[in-house]
Amino acid sequence: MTNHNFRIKNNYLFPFILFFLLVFILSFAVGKYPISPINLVKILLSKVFPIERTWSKESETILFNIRMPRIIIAAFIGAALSVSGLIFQGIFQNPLVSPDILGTTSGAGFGAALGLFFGFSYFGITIISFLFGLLAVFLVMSIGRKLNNNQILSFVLAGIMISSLFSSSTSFLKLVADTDNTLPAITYYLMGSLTSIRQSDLPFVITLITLSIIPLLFLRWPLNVLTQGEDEARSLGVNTKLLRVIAIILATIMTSVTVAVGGVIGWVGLVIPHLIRMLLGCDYRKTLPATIFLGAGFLIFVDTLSRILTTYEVPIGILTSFIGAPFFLYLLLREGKKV
Amino acid sequence: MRIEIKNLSFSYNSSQKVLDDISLNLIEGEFVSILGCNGAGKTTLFKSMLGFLTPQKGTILLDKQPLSSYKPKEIAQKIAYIPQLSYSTFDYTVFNTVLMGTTCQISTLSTPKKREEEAVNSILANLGISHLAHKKINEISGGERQLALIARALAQKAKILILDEITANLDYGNQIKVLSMISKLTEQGYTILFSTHNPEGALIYADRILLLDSGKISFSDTPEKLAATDLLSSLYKTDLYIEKLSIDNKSRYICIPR
Repeated sequence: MTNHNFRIKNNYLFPFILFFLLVFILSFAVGKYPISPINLVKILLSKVFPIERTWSKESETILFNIRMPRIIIAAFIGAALSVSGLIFQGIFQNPLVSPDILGTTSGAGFGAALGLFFGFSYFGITIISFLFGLLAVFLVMSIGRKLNNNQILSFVLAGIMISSLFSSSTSFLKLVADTDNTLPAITYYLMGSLTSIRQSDLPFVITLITLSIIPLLFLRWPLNVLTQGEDEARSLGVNTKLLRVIAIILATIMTSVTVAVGGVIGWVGLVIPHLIRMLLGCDYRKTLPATIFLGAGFLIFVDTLSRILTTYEVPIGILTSFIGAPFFLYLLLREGKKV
Repeated sequence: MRIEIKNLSFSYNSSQKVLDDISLNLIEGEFVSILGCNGAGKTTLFKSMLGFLTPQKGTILLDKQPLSSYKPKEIAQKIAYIPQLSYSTFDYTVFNTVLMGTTCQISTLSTPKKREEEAVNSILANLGISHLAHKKINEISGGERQLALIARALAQKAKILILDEITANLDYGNQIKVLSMISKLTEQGYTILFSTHNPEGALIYADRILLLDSGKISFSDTPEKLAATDLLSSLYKTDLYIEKLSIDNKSRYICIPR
């Protein structure tokens, strides 16, 4: 009998962890206010060991109060968007699906626009945006379930409809908004940016995203089976309805959180899962952990670019589109060649 | 392992019954073939037997317990299902595809371990397809793919196999290869329920043939008995002549349109 050694070794994850750590550390040193690598290491170590101060007070403040929250949140948003994309693509058996398939982004975007329109505080905007993201998916799932067609198709159609409804509502808000302050604020917010990230955002973002990713890590084998389609997955013993609902809710929470704090950051949820599948295949046991690290590293990288590229900060959503759109085109060409 | 269906009726909408008062018993080790036109209700019957559809009338007993009392995982441990040839959106290796069969053997929050992987290795070797283990499921031939799905069904350790037109879209050689593989499984105690549009395959391999016509079972007996009637002609609305041949001391039938 031939024995095939298919045990998954953890070393497949090593390059992704390395990439993440490298980008994570370098991003602290880079910015409008440069901090030398030696000072960076010293400042970081000074929190643990008593080291003589050779750096300015500003360096420390910038590092811990401004850069650190932003980099950590960029990492979590990158991981969340990428994992959401990976999950939705499996559930809908379509590798070209992105995390906003069920209208989460449009819903959360509308919520934020509404908050800005009524002059809510930053915290208020985050919460209302998050709630509208969830509302959009709740509406999509309620409508989708009522349609008697193929369940997956019903969700997608309902998603397009709800998404369009919220996008139009946002456009209406922009139309009636004060053109001096509110309209630019809404427009800038929807472009996606991490400039206004604060330390106080950390608990909200870290808690919700971590609590969403952990159950998915435990469910990565049944998620593999779910990609085989409804009938086959059920016949293999998976409670498909329950698994699909859990996965959709967790992916939606993650996407809503990202829009609530960072605005609309497109393409990450499409590009990273694709790249991972190209490198590792489609087994969720490997792709899910790798996606977390690559997604996190990628968004820190793009956010760092957005901080240093020009004298003004380029909204991160614009940069992810600049990178994502050509990559998508490359994928289409690659698929075309296969056919 | 027994499955008993009593007076089963099912309709997707109230106007027309897709299954109409079906009663059927499957006995351990039996190879039962279902013949019927498109839309006769074969797939609906299978979906009811797998617990995907809830019938409006009648009962399905699995080991004397109502099917509705089983959880999806428990049904999967007793009944395996193989669909007709299709292509996956995500291209898993043959090994991982077969490993998915062990899902009903492990807890929901865990992943297959060494024991499950060894079981898969052993099944692949028994079916003679170990060489395919590393290959991607969409890169192998249709016949090999169906053998991989049979391996996946065996990994479930279920003793009843429901095969929905699994030889459809296969070339003739692969049809024979898959059918003879299934036929061998009955010798190991597997119960086979197999739907096909190829009456000759059913006449050669099945112990019993069911004819499903507009949601009703119009015939349930041995291939010999079916060959002696003109029920196949009326089922397919085509005048068919069934010729009995004796090859290597075994009865074989061929269907020829008149």
